[in-house]
Amino acid sequence: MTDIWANIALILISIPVLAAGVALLLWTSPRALKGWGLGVIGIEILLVLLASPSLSHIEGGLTLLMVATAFLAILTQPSRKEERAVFMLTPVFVGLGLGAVAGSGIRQLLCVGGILALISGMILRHGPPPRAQEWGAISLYGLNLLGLSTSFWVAGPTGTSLALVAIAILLPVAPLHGPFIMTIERAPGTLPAVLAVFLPCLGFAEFSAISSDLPMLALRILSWVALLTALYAALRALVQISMERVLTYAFLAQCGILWWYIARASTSAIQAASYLSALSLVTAGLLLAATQLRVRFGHLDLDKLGGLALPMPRFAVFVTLLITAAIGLPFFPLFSGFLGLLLNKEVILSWTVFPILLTWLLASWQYPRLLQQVFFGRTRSDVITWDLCPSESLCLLSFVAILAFLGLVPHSLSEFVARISDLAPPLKAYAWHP
Amino acid sequence: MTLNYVILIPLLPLLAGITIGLCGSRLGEKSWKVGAPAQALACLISLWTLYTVTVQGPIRVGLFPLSTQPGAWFQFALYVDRLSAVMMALITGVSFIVHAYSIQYMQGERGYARFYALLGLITFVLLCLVCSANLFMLFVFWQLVSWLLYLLLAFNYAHPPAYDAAFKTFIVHRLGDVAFLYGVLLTYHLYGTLDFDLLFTRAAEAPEMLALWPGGLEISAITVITLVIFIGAMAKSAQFPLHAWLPDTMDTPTPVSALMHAGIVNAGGFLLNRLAPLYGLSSTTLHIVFVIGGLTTLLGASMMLLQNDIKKTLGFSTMGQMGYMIMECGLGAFALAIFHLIAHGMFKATHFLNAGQVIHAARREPKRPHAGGIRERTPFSRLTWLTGAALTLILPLIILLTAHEVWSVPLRDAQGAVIFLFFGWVTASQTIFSLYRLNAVASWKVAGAMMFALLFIGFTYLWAGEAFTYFLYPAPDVVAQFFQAAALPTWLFDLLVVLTTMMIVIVWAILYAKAQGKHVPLPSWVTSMMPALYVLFMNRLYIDALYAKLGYGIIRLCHRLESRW
Repeated sequence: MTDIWANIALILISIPVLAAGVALLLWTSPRALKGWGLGVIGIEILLVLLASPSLSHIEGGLTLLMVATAFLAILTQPSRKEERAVFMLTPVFVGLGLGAVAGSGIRQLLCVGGILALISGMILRHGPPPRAQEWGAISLYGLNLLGLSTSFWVAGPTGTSLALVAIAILLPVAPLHGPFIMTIERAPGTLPAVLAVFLPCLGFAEFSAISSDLPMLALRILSWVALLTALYAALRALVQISMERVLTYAFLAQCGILWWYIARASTSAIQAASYLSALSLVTAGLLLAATQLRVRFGHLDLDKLGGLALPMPRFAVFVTLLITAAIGLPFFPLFSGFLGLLLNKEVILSWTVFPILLTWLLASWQYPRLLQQVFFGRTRSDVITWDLCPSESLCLLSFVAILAFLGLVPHSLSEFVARISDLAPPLKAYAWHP
Repeated sequence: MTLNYVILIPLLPLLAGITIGLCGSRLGEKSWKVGAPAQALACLISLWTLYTVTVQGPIRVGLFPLSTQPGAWFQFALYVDRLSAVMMALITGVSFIVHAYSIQYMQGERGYARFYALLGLITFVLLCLVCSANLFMLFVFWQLVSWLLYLLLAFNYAHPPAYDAAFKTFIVHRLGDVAFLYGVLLTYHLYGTLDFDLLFTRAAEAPEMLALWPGGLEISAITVITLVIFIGAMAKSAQFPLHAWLPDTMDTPTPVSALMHAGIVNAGGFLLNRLAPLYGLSSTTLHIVFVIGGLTTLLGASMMLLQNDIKKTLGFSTMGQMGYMIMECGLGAFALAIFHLIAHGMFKATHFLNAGQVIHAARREPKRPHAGGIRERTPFSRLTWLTGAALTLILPLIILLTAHEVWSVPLRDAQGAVIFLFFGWVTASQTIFSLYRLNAVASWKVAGAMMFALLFIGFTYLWAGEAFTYFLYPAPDVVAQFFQAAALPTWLFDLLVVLTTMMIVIVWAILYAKAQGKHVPLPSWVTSMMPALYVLFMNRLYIDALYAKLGYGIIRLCHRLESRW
């Protein structure tokens, strides 16, 4: 028994990767693929819960977040032939992602490399032929991997600074946000929602490993860059014409707030993890809602959408609730997470809190504007649409329920993991580190 | 945790709102059968609570989490004292009236169930706001009011002016919310608690100072906290210059306007009252509050006179009244502000609900309105002007002297009380306009009835104000302390009183002379200013245009960023 749990991360990775081979046998049947995907991720959820005593609270919280998002993403993904790759890719991403978060050293590097390779392949294969921007994003991912590997071998401030630059691509901060935006735009099906959670969680997990070694100068520069990122992205989100881009830039703005906090507070404490969890969840929920619109209309052009409140009332209610969470209103975790960040004495008396509050205010412009563009106005008679089907409703309802649960109990995701750890049978210490 | 019946007051509207929200498609136009009885029951319980709290003292009910650590900020608890009980009775009463009115008014409207669901939810949020036991909970529900008001104002979501106005309202309210948030954060950082009782004690015991820059000018922390929180109050209560949202919210159903003007805009006044012990520690903030309130009153009333739309007139009237309410807070007359907002709430709700009927009737009226634009010149009536003189000049003096000499209201020390009486006097003076325009006094009987009515209202108002102050703040030294903290320098206050008195008398004299057909020689700069002032106020001081320019400027900047990067 001890031997099995001794390499828990290996098990987390290997199940989906090995099971991908089985998926090829089901390739002709998207429905069977969907069932397979749900089954694999269900097993991963169980494994994560059982492995939680071996993980730190933050790691446990992040891994649970990742698998839950992946499960709901597959649940809402329509069984269409042209997007059946999503059913195979999502569990593989799950496996590699869990291995990266829960692991360290070479294994972690290999998992991150695997994820970035898959994303690069996705950027090349899916959507219109790649142009300079797409190649630029792939190059930056390559640099990311190079930076992480170099930091593994090079010790001291140089190594940690290189790692920091690499992390800034995963947990995006300007001017290295391009690959993240590109990934969300180019990913097929419900993968944008999955990757909007996975990449930042990976970045955060990496950052947690190096945060104590970062030189003060790097942190000071980082806090300024984060401030500029927050304002820059918040302003850009106001003029995007694609729903996905609005959500991505809004997410980037909030990431700027997170980076500012962890640079100023010199820690990636549980408050930061709670905030990231909330932010990722709400963005994933909205991206899944966007996917449901894309299924119906084939695009997410805000100039061509509108007046959907009447034909899609259930969808309107769920999205309104998600937008309530995204603006940072109670009783959702982004509000309590933000408050938790700002109640830190190191940040509240600094003048830099004012641009952060301005960024927060601009979210109240971005999201209601999005709501109005999609749902308000006259219903278009030339467009036939239909409201949510049961699986889509269940997915969005689950997101809202998870967000409400997390909102009522701050730090609840990590506390939940801690409670599960207390209940789980005692495990011997495992030898994960190489 | 022992549950108290008080918890039913917010719970009933919440359950009604959720039930209608979930079952709205099945309930349809029967949604009122869930909403209205719940409000009625909540109203009855709140009236009983008002009695209980008056007799037995405040009620405290801890809600969530069940056990708390000292200094923990994430707490929900109800605290019902006399102030909360009065507000709960007002909110449930107005909400019930709006529910009842909407049964017929909203019939045939798409979204009938959605309307009642939102009404229930916003009532719940308002009730929780007024009975919050700590600043965190108050702030939570303060924000939710902004959001639910946006959803209600955008009820006619197919109509672009409706949701544009709703969006403008939400942005202004969020600006206030962000300032409020900063106040909450500073409070917690400096005093380690957000619980009201603890906070007031610590703030009074240990005055903190904040440096605006390292080694630079120091300012009282209480002043900073109360000022930034006041910005939140300004946004909700439509104070200048954050008033621009209020007059444009007329594309919403009339019951929503009634609820908003009778309930929601009062939130600022309530907030200042709830934090009165904090505001009483900062004279600077109180003076700023007074100035903002006074400015809002003046500008709101002036803009009201130039509107040709019944609802916009009422909107600016509300702005003026909210200015009065805030001004009273700025003079330390916190209890009078609550009295004012209750009285204003009741009469403004009546106006709006009546306005809805008038508009409906006008739309159904087949006859054309009278096309004549020129009014016949009314002959001068000595009776009209004698009545006006009595109402404007003589009676207020009688009331003032009676208050000071007979009832011993300490007018010399209570500037707030003087302003209160001035409010009565200015209001009475406005009857001059009505008399002048309507030539309404046709006989001595009518004149006598008007004078008796004003005397009755004036003395009742004065008595009610005193009684209500004693009701909310039984300890006289607390009230005296508020007045002292808010006191303007005597020379300044006397100057303001004298100037205002002179203005009223001069205007009366000018109108009297003009009514007699006499030419009144005014300086040329005064006569040339009048058309410019007219245009300025008709365009609402171009504040809306300024905000629109600011918004467009931000969007242009965003487009530039987008094209360059």
